Amino acid sequence: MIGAPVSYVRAVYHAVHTFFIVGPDGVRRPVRFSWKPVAGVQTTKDTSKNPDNAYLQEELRERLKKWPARMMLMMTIGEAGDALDDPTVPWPARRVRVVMGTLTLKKVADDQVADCEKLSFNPWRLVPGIEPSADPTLKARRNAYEDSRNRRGVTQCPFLPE
Amino acid sequence: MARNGTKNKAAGGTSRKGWFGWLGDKLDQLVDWLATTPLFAFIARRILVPYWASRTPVKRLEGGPRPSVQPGDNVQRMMNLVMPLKDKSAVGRALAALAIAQNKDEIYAGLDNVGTVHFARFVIVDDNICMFSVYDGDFSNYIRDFIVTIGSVFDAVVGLVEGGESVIPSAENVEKFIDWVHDHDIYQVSDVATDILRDQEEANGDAGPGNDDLRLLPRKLILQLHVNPNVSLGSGYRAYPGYSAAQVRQQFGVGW
Repeated sequence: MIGAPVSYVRAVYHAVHTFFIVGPDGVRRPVRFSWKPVAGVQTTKDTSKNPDNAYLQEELRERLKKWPARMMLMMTIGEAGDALDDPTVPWPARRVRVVMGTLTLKKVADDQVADCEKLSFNPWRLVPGIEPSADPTLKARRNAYEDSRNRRGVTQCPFLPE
Repeated sequence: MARNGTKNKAAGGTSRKGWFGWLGDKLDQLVDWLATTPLFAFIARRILVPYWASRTPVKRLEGGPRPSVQPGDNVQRMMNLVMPLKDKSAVGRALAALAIAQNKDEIYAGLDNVGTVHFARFVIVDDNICMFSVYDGDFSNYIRDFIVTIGSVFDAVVGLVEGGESVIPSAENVEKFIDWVHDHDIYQVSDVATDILRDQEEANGDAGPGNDDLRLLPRKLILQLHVNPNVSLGSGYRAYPGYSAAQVRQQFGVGW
């Protein structure tokens, strides 16, 4: 049995959808992103009981008081024949993997509503040079997130197009 | 806290409702616990698995990488040869160590000439001499290149291995030698758990994906490991996947 993550920043996050990015060489490549914790992955050892509710939030606050946490953004470049439109199929581990940068977390936002609840997390809000794939799940998320944003009356992410 | 408790219970996902549900949970726990007791562990390992294996014959799966047309799959491929020594004693293992040590120059020069090898090492595990390597491109060509460049080393090593005398000298038994090496290359379990079912279907000549009953996956894996005792787990980690040895050398300006 695999345990639960001991911390938000000791787990790997896989963005399962494929996006297309255009490189400086003008080539359009299919990619998938994942976040990898610099501190490494760790799960709870005792799997016989469920952890306390909201323990991850508290752990993160306590952790960031001591030291910032870092996550590495990895981009995997797919090849023809890989599952480009099916987020349920993983890509082989042998694809070219690029380190895109590091995210440093210094504190948990004081105002959770303004800095978190009032944001749109629509995966279709992309910067120029990144395009969505034809993945039907990704397509479904577009309108679902937009509807959620309207109902919550929240700000769009800064990247458009409308 | 009470609210959290309720939520956690629901999140557990295994709890059933009512008295029968409670009994079912207790029975599940009992069965899970029984599997950890020495008596049941012994029965499972020494009686149940051999019995299953005799009732459900499973074909040994072939070693080496799966065929693929994708470029990323055709670089940094693994070869994991496990070759049982004829002489299963410390003397036999020393003879194998000697065969490698005496031919070190020839091996290194040969590998430099082959040019498609990232790593290659010889390891003795119990009474097996093993050669683990990472290479680019086609397996047969890799072995063919080997025979040309370091065939005499292979002959020295293979001569110490069970059944090896039938394929040496390798230069005169090229195709037979390639098959022999392939036969000693261990099965590579895929990163995707259900791929082992596809490999079993292929070995049995079945038409294609049937209904995968995932509850049977542990049983199928155990039966496969019964006939393939040595396997490589997953495709392995690579610091720079997708690049050939030639590309890496070129990038660093150390090619030839």
